[in-house]
Amino acid sequence: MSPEHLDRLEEELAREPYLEDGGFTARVMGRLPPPRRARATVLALSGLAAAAIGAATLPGLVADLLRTAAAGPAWLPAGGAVAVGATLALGAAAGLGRLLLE
Amino acid sequence: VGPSDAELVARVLAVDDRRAFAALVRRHQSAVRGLLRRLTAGDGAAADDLAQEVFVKAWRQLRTWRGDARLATWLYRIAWTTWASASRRAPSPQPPPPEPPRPFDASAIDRADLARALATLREEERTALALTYAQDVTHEEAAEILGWPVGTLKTHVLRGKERLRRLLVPATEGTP
Repeated sequence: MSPEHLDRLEEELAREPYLEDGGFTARVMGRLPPPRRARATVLALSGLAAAAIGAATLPGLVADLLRTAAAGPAWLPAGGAVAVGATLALGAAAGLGRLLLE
Repeated sequence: VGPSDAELVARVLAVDDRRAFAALVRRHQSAVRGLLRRLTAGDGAAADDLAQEVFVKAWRQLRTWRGDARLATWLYRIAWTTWASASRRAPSPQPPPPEPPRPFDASAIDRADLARALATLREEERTALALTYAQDVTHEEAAEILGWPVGTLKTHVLRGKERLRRLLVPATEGTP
């Protein structure tokens, strides 16, 4: 191959024509996970949903807890139960939110 | 001229700025897609699918980018590993044999001929040529991206070019 052809080969290898975007960026952005704000909203909604489901399915337990709490001396265990319940609800909400996001 | 890559990355990391990330994708899409087209031996559709995957991975791993390397080099590394694992999963079909050399305009090598010739190279040679001739990538950067010693990279580049020269030799050459 003549030196001219060698140069042409080098040139062609090095030549990198610009590729127009043509919607490529939009397609990439569409594949990204939802923004953090949206994630926070999903999490909050999941929390509310979990709380509503809890209140609807366990009204007796909530009332019992409130009565026990109001009774006075037994407030400490009742408070603990409420705390445990709230933690479980939050955990469920977080899990549900994560599932919805994935 | 707009914000630097580092500034855009900082915005993405600080406030989840999607516009900043879109600007990064727009800025680097051509180079990443071009590299993947060479790695996939000219399969534009496969290259673009992989390129999308590259940018999604880049988004997820953006915190791992250290400002001491150029963002383009970092993206090329992701592109190469993405292509390598995809080709391990589904090896590319054997390329068609190159057409016999034919006379061509001495002022230009036909791009289609070059693509066909590239497709017949060994994977290491094509990879070495694709990265070495990617935008502004030095031999040292290409070797680092591939995890090869610089000498190995240069050997594959030389062998690849030698093969290309043999494939693309004009039919008129050697005739009196």
